[in-house]
Amino acid sequence: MICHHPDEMYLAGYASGQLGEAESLVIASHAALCPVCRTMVHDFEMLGGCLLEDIAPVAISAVDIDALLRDVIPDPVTDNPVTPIMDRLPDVMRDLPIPGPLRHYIGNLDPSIAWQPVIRGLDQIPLDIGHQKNCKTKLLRIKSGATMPRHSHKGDEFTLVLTGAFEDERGYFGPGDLAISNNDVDHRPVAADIGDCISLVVINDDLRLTGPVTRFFNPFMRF
Amino acid sequence: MHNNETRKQKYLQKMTFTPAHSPPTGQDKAETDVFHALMTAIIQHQDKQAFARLFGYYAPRIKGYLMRMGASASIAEELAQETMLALWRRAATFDPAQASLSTWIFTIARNRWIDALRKERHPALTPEDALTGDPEPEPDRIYEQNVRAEAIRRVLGSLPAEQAELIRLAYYNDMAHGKIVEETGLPLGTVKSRLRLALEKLRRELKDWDIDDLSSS
Repeated sequence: MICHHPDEMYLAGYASGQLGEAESLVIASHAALCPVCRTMVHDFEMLGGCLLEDIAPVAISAVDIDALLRDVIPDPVTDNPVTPIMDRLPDVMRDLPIPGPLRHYIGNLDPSIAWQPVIRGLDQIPLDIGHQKNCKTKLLRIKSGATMPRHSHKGDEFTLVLTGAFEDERGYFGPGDLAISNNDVDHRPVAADIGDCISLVVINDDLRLTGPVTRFFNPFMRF
Repeated sequence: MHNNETRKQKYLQKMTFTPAHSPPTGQDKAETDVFHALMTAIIQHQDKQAFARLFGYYAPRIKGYLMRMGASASIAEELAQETMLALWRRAATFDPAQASLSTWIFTIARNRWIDALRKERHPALTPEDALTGDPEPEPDRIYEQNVRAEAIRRVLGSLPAEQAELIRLAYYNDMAHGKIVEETGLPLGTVKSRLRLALEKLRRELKDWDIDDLSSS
């Protein structure tokens, strides 16, 4: 049962097209799993439609409709709705529950891509999403029962749990839950003992390690 | 800051009291029915006259919307044309059970803007995603879309003018809050909390809206 949802400001930002691509991906992936948020997104898109009807029209220069339509050529980018490419999932992800919006992005990865070790108990697969500076997207895998170093954030961190679960000061996060941390959160996530915890993570700036020992590793923590 | 104060006063003066039950904004039911008939003509017969009429209504509004999103007049016009061309090419994929026509066109225009101005894509939710999670009973979805759209128009029309304006500003200004602060002279914290209140109100009223009330009016 999903208990942790994004604030409706993020849902509105996604629907109105103002969130960057990486953040939009994590919001859309949560909404794909959560009927409540999906309905909210749809209502916000409908709001966009109503605002479109309402807006003061701005004159368009005269158009010859026949000429316009005569030369129409199919445009692969705009014409094909984004379809998930299920049979092209990398080998390491074939058994993972991947929400629709994320499947498309993962379908383009090298099929033999492997988890990359970060620190003990933590692996990652970086994803190249969007063009925002300092915005990084990755799949993170925390080994079952492992404790992560205490850290805080300079910017925002979005964590969508896909499988397994983790717990920290803010609560318990299972599949479908979306944890959003802003720069006032200092936390130490612990993976539940039920299997590896795999999440889609978007980070808006570099993490700062805040625990007594791991603070010294900060210059090296560029993940 | 004196400038901020003057701007704030001017903004507050512009906001006049709106009666609680305003008529719906945007299209009325008759217009919506006409546009649906035009779409049917396009889908079934590739009717160019029908397309020209839809173009005449939507293209200037798409242009207005994109200019408020920060596009120049010429880019906005180009993207408005591209949006309507995409509608023509993809007309057969329009599903009134998934979204109203204006909503569908809004999403096409939004995605063109994201692509053209930010060189990014909009990660899409697809109808297939609705199949994950709990199965829900199947009401008449086209009817539901129209009624929901009507509800949103009415709620938008009934919001106090200041709240409605904040919602518009949030939708139209890229990376909203900084620009809203500039335009209204209100401090950022105030803008954020008022915007949140406006959105919450919209959401509450949508939840409370009794669909049966609308269908019989």
